[in-house]
Amino acid sequence: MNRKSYVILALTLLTVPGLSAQTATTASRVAQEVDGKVLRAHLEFLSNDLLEGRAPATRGGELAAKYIAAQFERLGLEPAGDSGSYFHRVPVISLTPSPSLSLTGSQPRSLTYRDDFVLWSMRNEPEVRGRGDVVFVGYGIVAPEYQWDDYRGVDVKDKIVLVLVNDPGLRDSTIFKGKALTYYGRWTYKIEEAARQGAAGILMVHTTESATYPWTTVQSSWTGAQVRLETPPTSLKFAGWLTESTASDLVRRGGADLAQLMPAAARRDFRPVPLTVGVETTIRSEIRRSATFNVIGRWPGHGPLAREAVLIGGHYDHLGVRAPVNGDSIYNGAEDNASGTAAVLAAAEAFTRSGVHPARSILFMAFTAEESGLIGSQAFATNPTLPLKNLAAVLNMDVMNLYGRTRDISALGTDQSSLGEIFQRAARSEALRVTVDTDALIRGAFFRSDHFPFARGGVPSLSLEGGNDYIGKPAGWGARQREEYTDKRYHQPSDEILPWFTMDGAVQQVRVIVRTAIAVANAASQPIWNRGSEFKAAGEARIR
Amino acid sequence: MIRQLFVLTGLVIGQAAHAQQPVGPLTRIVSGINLKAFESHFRYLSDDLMEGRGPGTRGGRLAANYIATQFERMGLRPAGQDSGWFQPFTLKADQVVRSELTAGSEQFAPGDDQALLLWGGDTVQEYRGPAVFVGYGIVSPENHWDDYADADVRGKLVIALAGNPGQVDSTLFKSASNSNRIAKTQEALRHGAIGVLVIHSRAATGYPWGNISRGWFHESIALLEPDRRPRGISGWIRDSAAARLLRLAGLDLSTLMISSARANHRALPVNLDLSVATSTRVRTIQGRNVLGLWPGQGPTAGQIVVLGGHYDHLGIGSPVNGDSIYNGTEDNANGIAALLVTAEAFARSGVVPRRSVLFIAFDAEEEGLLGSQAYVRAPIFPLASTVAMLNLDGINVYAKTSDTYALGLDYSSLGTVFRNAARVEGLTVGISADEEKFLEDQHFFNRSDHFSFADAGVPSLFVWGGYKAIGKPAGWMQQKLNEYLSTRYHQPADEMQDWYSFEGSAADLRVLARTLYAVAMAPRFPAWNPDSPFQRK
Repeated sequence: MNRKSYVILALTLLTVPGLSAQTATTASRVAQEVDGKVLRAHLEFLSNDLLEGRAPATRGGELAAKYIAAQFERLGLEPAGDSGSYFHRVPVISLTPSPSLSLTGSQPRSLTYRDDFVLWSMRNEPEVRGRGDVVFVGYGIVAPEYQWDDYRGVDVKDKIVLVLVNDPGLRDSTIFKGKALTYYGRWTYKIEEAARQGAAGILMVHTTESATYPWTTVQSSWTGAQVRLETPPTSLKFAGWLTESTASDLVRRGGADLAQLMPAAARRDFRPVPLTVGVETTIRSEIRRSATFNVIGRWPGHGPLAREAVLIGGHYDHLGVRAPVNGDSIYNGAEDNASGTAAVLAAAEAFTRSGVHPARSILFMAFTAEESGLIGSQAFATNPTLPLKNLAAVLNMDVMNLYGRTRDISALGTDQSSLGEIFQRAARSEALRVTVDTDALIRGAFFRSDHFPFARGGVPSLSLEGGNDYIGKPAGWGARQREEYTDKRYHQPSDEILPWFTMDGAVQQVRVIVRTAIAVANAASQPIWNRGSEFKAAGEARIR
Repeated sequence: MIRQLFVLTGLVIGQAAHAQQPVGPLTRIVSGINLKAFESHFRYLSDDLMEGRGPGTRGGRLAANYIATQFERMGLRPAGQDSGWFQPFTLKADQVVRSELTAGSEQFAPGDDQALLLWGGDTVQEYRGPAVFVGYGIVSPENHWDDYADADVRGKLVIALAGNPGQVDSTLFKSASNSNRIAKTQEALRHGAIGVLVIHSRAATGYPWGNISRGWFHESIALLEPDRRPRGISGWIRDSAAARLLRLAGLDLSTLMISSARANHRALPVNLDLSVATSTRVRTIQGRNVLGLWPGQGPTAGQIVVLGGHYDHLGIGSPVNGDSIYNGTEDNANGIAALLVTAEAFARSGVVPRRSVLFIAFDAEEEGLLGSQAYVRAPIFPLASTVAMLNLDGINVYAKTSDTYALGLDYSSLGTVFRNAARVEGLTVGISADEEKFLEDQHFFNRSDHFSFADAGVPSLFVWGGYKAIGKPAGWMQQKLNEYLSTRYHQPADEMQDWYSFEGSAADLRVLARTLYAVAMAPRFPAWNPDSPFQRK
């Protein structure tokens, strides 16, 4: 009752034309305070060799987390982590698996780790045994909005599901979003759905086209220590990948033909196919438990909506100290993502310098363990320090533009929710065009940074990207710079501050972000998901 | 009485100025002092992760980077070497690694019996042969004294008593110079000896043997300078060990002590098969001061007011109760936090001063004011146009006080500026005779970085803080200080205490900001008082 009248009051206020003009001027006041010197100073400190690559649960990671907390405290942000501190504890478990896998049935075969398969335990136990008959469930998708259910009419309890990655749009541009990857295509979704269905294990079929990366990437990413959030067990005992030829052999022994099943799976009339083959696995895991921390500060809102918030975040972790390349073993992560962390701090300082308090609060958050699989943001989204229904939007910054001023700007997720329109307006106020990165949509980049666990939790989210049209540079220059970064510096010790970097482009970006944040924070109602977005259902569930 | 009268006038003037300019530049600066920021810097610099901020260590470099980052963020201009934030300098660290003395089969234990080092090099020096006893080992024409008369010590080791004959017979020796170990070593080497063993006694040196043995085998750090000292052995032998050694040669130490104080005594051969070996390991350490400038404008913009404080502490050392990190929270993480928030209050005020203000965070203070020494020897801005230096080394984090204080108030015109600033903040200035005696006994004015500037002729103040804690019994603050000195000072226990209060810090920082601003704006140069021990060079 009380709450309702507040909302009505807020609505009345915000429909007064003078107030939106006021929002525009307060936004300009904050945007003006975005300071390149602040950005550069934080970037330099955080990417220095002494921060040792900021890996979670290491000395360097702790130095970075405490540094960020010190800055939040200095700025006068309220602690918004656990029990009155700036820190939100993230319990992580690291498992280094040694698995065996064999096919059972009339023609048993034992498979070779790394060459034929890659597998890890889904239980936090030193030894896990799993066995069961295999059911091929196509893309393993249950998507009511696309009238799609790959688990229709089958009970996979105690079964091992064999799934394709990506989504059917890969083969038929008229369904799902065509070549643009939906979340249903991500490997993480496949595992989540298999757990919801009660399967005992999951094996994913690797092809370079559907995964968008070669088998060598599977080998390097899913062997060795697997770091994840420590969560309660599900029905799944294990998950893994099979090479395409191993999967074909398994299906043949099970009485079917993978080459025929693959196109069949992209049709709406596809039904799950139980196979007459089983698998048996034993996974011994070396287990290490530790904790790492998100860092959270709150700039309180003004008035009844202050209990709601807009989150401006970016991950502060990187890869730490690893195998040396050209004698350098410190993976500084200057662009990825000391730059985004510096941007979060610069945005916070712009608010505190301006003294502007919008209606909703602004949460500034530096995420941990992004590089290990969005663990910090996932931990917050599953165990938030404020209810997700009070979180109006998430604005993520992962890798800032350190190359120069542009005429355009971009963000992942502009097509998903009404945040897209708000972002457009904010960009226009900074005289920037909004462009769409189609390559990023095909790669599924939206699912690969810290805003994503929030999107899955139903919170409208954006992840900031740079522009392409650099002022004073020839066409294609920006794309070349980005390519060079991807080829030569991405996840390498050479991701360091280069002498020619400038903060001018990042300042433009942060100005757009603070304008977007203020527009959301002062709006009468929270942003909503677009019709047809795969997060709309979660968004509605969140508010209920 | 007179002091009180001043207080009244000061208040009136202060209020008048206030009334005319309610939001003047100074008010903007003073209100920009941010206690939250103070606390955050204080906490981060004190953290175990800073590993005690030892010069040249990882923790030290982290702290320097942190300070530079904050200077850059707040918009100061880099004022170090080559327009960067740092002024690097090289330190030399000596460590005695070998110190052996035997006479025939008789051994003299390092630390317990003797303490030897090798002068001027890092290789090994070995000697085998007899020694010569040379009395006090002093040549002093003005005292008509020559312990080397008729002696041939070339290529031999000499043994000498500590002190000078005037300590035994005051009619003999007027001046006490040339009687320390360094002087005795120089004298011995000048006469061609390979080195000297000085016989320690508490009476002659004024301190017990433990003072030598405790620190002898630790690393000692100094500014790297061209070393023109000749190479040789230099060291101490404890009086009891010396008696034992001389007895082997048929000599009696107590007899020699008496005879050595006679003008007619001569050097004596010590016929023993002595074997001596020393070596000193030398390494260099990179120190770095951090410098940021708040630039002034106009004809006096080239004149500099310095606000300094040291950021280094003792690093990681011997554990005490399982803790080996010497955090240096009150020495001097709090001073640097204060320096940073003061710098930010100025840098973010939008005010443009007449003189420029230079903020310096010094390295290697704990090793003997070495960072500030390095600065005054190679100043980035000429010392002749450096008008004043204010130093922060430990500030009041204990309680709000009704008074405040700085060391050096009576040495220069800065004293009046500081007193005026305190008055505007409603704080009295002045300490009791006991408190003054405490400060003098501890030689505090000589113990921090402002001393390097004062010694180089720049009028200086050491911001100290008040004694009259509000709501606490009389003597409470002195007791807290004593407690700090006896239980935490230079110990791993110098860590964040949960009972700290920053209200006193805030008041002292406002006084500091007012003082700094007044010096930056005043038409006249601060000047040393005529009776001050320090003067412009």
